[in-house]
Amino acid sequence: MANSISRALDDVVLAELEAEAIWAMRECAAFSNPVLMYSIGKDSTVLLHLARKAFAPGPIPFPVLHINTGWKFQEMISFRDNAAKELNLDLRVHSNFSAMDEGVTPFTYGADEYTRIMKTVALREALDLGGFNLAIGGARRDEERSRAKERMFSLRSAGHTWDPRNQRPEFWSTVNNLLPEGASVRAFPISNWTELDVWKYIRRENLDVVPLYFAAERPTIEVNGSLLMVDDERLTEHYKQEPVLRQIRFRTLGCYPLTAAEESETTSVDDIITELETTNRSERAGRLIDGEGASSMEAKKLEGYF
Amino acid sequence: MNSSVVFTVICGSVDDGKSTVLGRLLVDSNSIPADTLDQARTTRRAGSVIPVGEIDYSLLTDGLESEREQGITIDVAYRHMYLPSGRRIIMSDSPGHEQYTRNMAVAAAKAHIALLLVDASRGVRSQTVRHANICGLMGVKKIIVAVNKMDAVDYSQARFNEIVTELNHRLGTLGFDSIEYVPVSGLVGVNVSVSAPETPWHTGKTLVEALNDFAEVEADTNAALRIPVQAVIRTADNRGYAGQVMSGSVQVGQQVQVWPSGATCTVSAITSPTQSDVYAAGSAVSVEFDREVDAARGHIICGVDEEVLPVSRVFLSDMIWVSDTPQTKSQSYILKAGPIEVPASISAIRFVTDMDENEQVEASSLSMNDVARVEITLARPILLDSYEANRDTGGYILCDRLSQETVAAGMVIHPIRRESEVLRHDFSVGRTQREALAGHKSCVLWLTGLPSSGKSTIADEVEKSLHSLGYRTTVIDGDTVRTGLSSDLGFSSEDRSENVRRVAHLAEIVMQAGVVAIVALVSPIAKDRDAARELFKESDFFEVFVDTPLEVCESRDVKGLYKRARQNLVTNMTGAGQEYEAPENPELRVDGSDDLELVTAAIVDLVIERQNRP
Repeated sequence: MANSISRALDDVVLAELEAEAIWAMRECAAFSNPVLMYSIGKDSTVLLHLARKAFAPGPIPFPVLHINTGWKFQEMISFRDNAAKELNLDLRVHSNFSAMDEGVTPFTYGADEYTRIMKTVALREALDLGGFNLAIGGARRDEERSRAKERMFSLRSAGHTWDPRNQRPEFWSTVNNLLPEGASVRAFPISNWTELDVWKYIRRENLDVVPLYFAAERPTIEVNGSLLMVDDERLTEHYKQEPVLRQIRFRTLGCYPLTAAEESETTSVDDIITELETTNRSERAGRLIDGEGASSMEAKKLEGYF
Repeated sequence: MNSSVVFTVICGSVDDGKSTVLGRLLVDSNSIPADTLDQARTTRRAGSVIPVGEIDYSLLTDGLESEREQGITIDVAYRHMYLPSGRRIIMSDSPGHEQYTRNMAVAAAKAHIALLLVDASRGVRSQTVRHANICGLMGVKKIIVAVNKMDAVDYSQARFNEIVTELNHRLGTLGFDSIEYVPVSGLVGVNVSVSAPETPWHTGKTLVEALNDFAEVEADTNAALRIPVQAVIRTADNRGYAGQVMSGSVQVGQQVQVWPSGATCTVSAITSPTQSDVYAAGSAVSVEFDREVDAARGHIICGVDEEVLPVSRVFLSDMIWVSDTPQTKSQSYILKAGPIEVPASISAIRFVTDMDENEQVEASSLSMNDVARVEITLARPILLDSYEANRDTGGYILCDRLSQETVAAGMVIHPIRRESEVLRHDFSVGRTQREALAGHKSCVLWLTGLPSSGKSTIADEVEKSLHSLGYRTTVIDGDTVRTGLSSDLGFSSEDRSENVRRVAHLAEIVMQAGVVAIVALVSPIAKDRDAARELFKESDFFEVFVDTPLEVCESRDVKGLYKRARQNLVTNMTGAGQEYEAPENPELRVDGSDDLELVTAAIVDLVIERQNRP
């Protein structure tokens, strides 16, 4: 896609998208209790960078929240802790501890139910606990069809549910920040960015991302045609397979037993951009959680998923 | 404001083939991932007649499960498309059903280009006109009309021309700068991205060519500077006022003023993600000043070259109602315009536009998807541009205080009363000096009453009497005004209001000149007269109700108006067909059938008594 876009036009487009996102970040700060959702991936990295720019030289005026399922790649967790330290973030981490105690894992439950319990429910708990009435997320409209339909400032009713049949209208640069009792807003400052924009912005701003995005020899097993990385012994114990070293990378990052890797030689941001401009495959193809039923992202969103 | 990412609203009636045309555009421009395309070749929905292996274009723009259950599109989907120039368009795929017009308006509000679909065989439908109307209303200046399904009419040039003629007539009045008509077939792929042999008679553009040409958006660098302050950022030794440049441009060293304080200062530093010398519209900036200034979220950084900022408390506006809950009289709302927030009420509904017929009709309240012209009254004056000048600083929303929902989107036309005292040029000679020279105080005598009640006769007598007493006077007579100042106006209630407004302002200028202004004007509507009164201090304005019995007026019938009204030769005549709202508390009530000398003396007394009040 977009292989004809020249570098010069890229710069103009990125500057515009950046300005729009910064405008949105500043509107988020006008809510009484905002929080920035940080999932450690490339989109979150960009989001965090934009939040810093929006309020520079001051600090980011809201906390940063990570929902940990307990099954994130180890490299993600160390990247997160590093970022928090270096950027002096007010980092909050929340997990659905009771479900963890009950032994909910990606293996004991289907991907759908696991995601609901460990991500959606955990997210709702964390937002309620913190009393947050605005959560900033890195979702983009080009990712998936239910996201293509969502407003930049998207109202969630009490219980965090999304009603796509009755979205709050959104006009110009005016945000309605009045909320009915119990309602909250999900804000998506990079709604109008594409995956390629995100990588080009990472290149322009010279941002660090989790190394898992770049190809390296990693221990893997093959399950139902998908390559899974063996991040710890829990995976091999479950599937009873010997890991095989393969040159792999990830296009998106989630819970490692549910995120398929691709065999790849791509080792730099430039390579990733070239790859995206030539391969032309949809981004979330590697997310096993999106696979169950054609509308599963939409179904998750209705319940409060990002 | 954006110049490289151009939003296009794609609209038109249900079943005019939007999704097929859009799907074709996205595929032809290589904007769809290969695996998604594969799915569109293999997946088939019940009832589909497209053979497996070919692309079902409509699947590419498929909506939500919740929408498919009902078989309709409810809300806008945003999709990226790339033009041959490398430019990006975000296609805002809008619902075609009338009940979701408000969502289509959301898409139009952000769009630079409209792509309006018309079914060649069914022709122009009411929803086609409605969508064109909304696009015009929301400030879209460029429209491409795709006459689709040309394959179903054998690519008939005559049919195409018929539709062009009909639409051209309707689109002409909606404020579009550029209109392009393209005969297409989304199904066959005719004139979408390649001009096709099926329409050899079409020498115009393909859809992609039209989009490509329209996507060139030039920013207006001469526009007035507006930076609405979103947040205040404390820096080491100063404060940064963060916001987006909505129009104009800003640079270090520039002198600016901050509304509402009016303070002028110099920009000492600018922080922005993209460093440059001059920050044009669209830039996100944080501006620092050379001295301490009273500024906070909701304040606006403006240029110093503007002598009078468009600050108003009452303004005229277009509006679309977007709530299920109808508007009710006297309800107060929260108006939000960017970071500005202020209590507001709809003080008058001038008219509602019947979108199908493009006609103005009277209304007492607004309900879902109504498009209206209204007067808004605010709790305090704010800076609002006209929507024509800038969508971001001339557009606003109304929010319900109880439900907190957004109930309306408004587009400012112009202030009805400018609150410009603060920044109005301070002239050296004022009313006080002029009155001193004249040797008396001035005021306004506002004579209101039915046609032929005797207003002009009384005004004439009053002027003669005051003149002989040494007062400087002038008469502003309704009929005279109608032949000059208001010769462009008719007799609809909207035009009458406007006429009264002009006369009131004229009277104010005359009074400021130190002259007693004697107004003789039917002015039948109470709220118009009240608006006039609002321009003056209490001691300056005298409403004189010329309360002559209707039978007397009708028997006099100086201009033969009553007679012609009874014969239905004139409509909208006050006293015969249109109601005259009598003043409830006029400063003076006189009967035009009484002795003229007594009536005149009573009015002259008002002016004489005025001399003893401050």
